[in-house]
Amino acid sequence: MRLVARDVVVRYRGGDRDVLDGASFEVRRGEAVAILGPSGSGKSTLLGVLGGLVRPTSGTVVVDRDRGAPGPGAAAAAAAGRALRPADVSAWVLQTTNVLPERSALDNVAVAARTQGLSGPQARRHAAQRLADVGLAERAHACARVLSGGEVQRVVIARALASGRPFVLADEPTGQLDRSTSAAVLDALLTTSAEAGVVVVTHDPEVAERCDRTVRIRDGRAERA
Amino acid sequence: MSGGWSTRASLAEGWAAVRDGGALPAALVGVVALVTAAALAADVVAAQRVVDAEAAYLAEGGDLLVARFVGDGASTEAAGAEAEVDAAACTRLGDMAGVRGAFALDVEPGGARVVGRPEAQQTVVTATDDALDLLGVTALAPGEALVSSIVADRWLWATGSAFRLVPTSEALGSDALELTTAAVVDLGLLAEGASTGVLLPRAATGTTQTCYVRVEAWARDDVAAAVPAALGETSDRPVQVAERLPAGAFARDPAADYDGRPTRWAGAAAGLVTGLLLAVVAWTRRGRAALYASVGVPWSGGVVLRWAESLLVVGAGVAWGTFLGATTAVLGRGADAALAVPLALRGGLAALAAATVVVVLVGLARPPVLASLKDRG
Repeated sequence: MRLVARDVVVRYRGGDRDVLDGASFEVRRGEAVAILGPSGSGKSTLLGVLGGLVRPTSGTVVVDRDRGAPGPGAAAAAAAGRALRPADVSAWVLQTTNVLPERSALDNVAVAARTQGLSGPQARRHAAQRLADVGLAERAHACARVLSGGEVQRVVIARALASGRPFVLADEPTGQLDRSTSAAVLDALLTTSAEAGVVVVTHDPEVAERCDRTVRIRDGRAERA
Repeated sequence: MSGGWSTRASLAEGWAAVRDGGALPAALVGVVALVTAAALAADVVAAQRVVDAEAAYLAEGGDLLVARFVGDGASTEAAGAEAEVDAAACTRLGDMAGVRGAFALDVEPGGARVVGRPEAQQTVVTATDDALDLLGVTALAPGEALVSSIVADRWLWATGSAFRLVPTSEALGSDALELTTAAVVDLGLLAEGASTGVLLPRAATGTTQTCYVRVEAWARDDVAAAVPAALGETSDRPVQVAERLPAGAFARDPAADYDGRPTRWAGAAAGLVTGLLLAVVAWTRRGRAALYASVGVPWSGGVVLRWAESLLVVGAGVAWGTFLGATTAVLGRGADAALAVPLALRGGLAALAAATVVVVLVGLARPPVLASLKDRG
């Protein structure tokens, strides 16, 4: 399975330039790709396009299902009677704290598990396993607001895993963490998501080095680094 | 709802958001309750004012029209007026739409002498049956009379007291009347001159000085216009129809006042206010909606989730506010519970409906997911 963007142009409403200007990008399931580039270069916009959260002004983004299992998003698309879309196959890990702060780590992860059609108890068992995968089994019942930054990011990674989606899109997942915590989070992301396609937007060359390949955004286009 | 995410999951998440939400849901329920309670209490108090005003107006005889012939020597005063009105025609007015009762009434100042009270002349009032209903008396048995409170005080009579009257007016006959006090009432409601009288029932036969008509406020003008013809008015014997109370006292229509009270839509207004408050809260928390979308909850699932969360807050707040509003009006402002409870319930339902409309519409909004997640929306 591949997530493929071709000749994507994005200009935000009211914007005076194209943030992406004919960018093409591809990620396969099972590989990790880093996207590098200066601030404002369009890294996050490309990620948003890949995940179906930003509608391109022109160009296409498709899910190529020639290879690999369809994943739970395919079931959702089939149930809705439509083609598989990028948003159906991608899960998100963002830099900012994107958890339900008043809920437990387990509840946060279980939400994603329920998108697979699991019942409440099944989702919680599944979520507990995903939290164990990222080393947070003992913090499963802790309220999210008392977790450290690194723990929160691992909860978010566990949530992405629990969704069962074949692609994980991470926007500066270690941007607000110290060096040792960043390493632990990156380990969790790349190790536990080994079967998924992982796209990581980052400023950190060390993060890029951990990925299978690196793409740099320059003048609105994606270039192999 | 598509794919794996179920409506049940949305409802469970909505409930969990309220249950685990800490101070915010509790504060929102409190604010919704206070806004609702204030609005409903204000409406109940306003309605109670209308009801009190109507009660006072009825107690003063505000629903009475008095008809009598005028001209050719007929007096415009009830007391001592010439008896020209057909009593049967008068009582038939009670069958008209908007008429609650009609009765013939005569006042005979000094119409009798009280046996055992030398030199005492007694005003005697005679009236047909509907007058008793106005005075709150169901019926009088033969030999029973109603005594005005002034007369009761003067002669130290009470309910059950026996007395004799010797008529001095031909209209009352010539035989002494053996009477028992059935009740002590305020006969001044009927006419100024009746306030010192003793009321005896009379048959709807012959003629009477005045015809009293109890009307519903909404029918007042139509009834007033129809009465002269019904009583046999002619060009040389016009019928005057006047209000029992001084001019202007009957000008208000309690039903119209009730329907037109400014706080009538307070419940719905409170619902709109609370709905808009929740809309603002939803906008400030749009990141949550985006979060659910980003983990794969379909838009329809997110809508149901937001509806469930908001409606739980609205439902709890309005229910509490309705209780508080009714309680405040009854205990704090002396409103009648029989009025306050149904009025507050109706207002609460209106508040719930209005808030629900806003919440449902706001729940349909689809914020830009990525911008909201990155707090740029």
